[in-house]
Amino acid sequence: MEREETFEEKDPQVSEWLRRLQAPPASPAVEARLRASFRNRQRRRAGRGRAWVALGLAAALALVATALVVRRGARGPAPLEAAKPAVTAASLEGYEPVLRPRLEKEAEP
Amino acid sequence: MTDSARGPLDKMRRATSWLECPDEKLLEATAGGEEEAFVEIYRRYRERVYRFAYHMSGSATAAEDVTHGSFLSLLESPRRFRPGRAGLGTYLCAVARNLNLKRLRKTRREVLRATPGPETAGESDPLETLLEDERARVVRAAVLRLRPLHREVVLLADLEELDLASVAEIVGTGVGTVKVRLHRARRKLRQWLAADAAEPERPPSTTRRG
Repeated sequence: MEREETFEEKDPQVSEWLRRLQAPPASPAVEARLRASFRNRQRRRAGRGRAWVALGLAAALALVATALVVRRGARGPAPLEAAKPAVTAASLEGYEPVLRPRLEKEAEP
Repeated sequence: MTDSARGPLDKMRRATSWLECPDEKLLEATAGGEEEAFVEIYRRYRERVYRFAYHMSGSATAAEDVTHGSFLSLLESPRRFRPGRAGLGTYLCAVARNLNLKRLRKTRREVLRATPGPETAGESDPLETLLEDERARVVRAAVLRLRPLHREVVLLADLEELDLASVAEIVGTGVGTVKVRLHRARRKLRQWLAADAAEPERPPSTTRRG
């Protein structure tokens, strides 16, 4: 800014020139576009909300399933049925008792 | 209950009630999903935002895009507006300003065209109308010749008649810088418009690399 000129906050001459400028009115299409954007956004928000609910439910189900599996594993294998002795079937057919086992010494070299 | 489920009388009653609501309440209602509250904000500030965008860009189409983007920003980033810092109109003009500058940078080339403005209303004398239109065309061409940073301050201060603090808030700089830019812009306009008063004709379009 040149020193001899002082700055005036308002300039009536320039304001008068600029008042000759006229803008056309904003088309109604702008309002229609904004309404459409608003509604789209509301729909997206509702959709996102539903997605979160579904995700939460899936997570909860997964947690419950995991808990069941872990609990079943901790219990261990099913207990044996009580008081039944183990029985091995055996047959005496062809059995010859050995009264006195004889150990034969190997021949000396 | 959605708007479509409400009766027309109920809708009209609610639309009327938004007229008296302060901006902060309208913003809250918008965030709560009230479409008519959002539309009321648009109707309150559309002329100011659209006029600024139109005179900055020289194009009605660009002005519509910028206006749409400015109000949309209230939906997309509502927390950016801080009521204590500036009024909603000032904030919207600041967004419009940034959108317009982005648009200019994208196109990389500013075609300065004295786009025909609306016809002067209420003038019965056709000659007077013609003269008025011609004067408006000359002023429009001069404004579009200004650099964007000078153009915006002269439009905000001398056309929208905002105070320097609000202008500084919108353009994102200090009051001192606004004064300097405003001084330079006014000096240029005086040079060109005083010269135009002497010369009968000026070329209608000027192309300048931005």
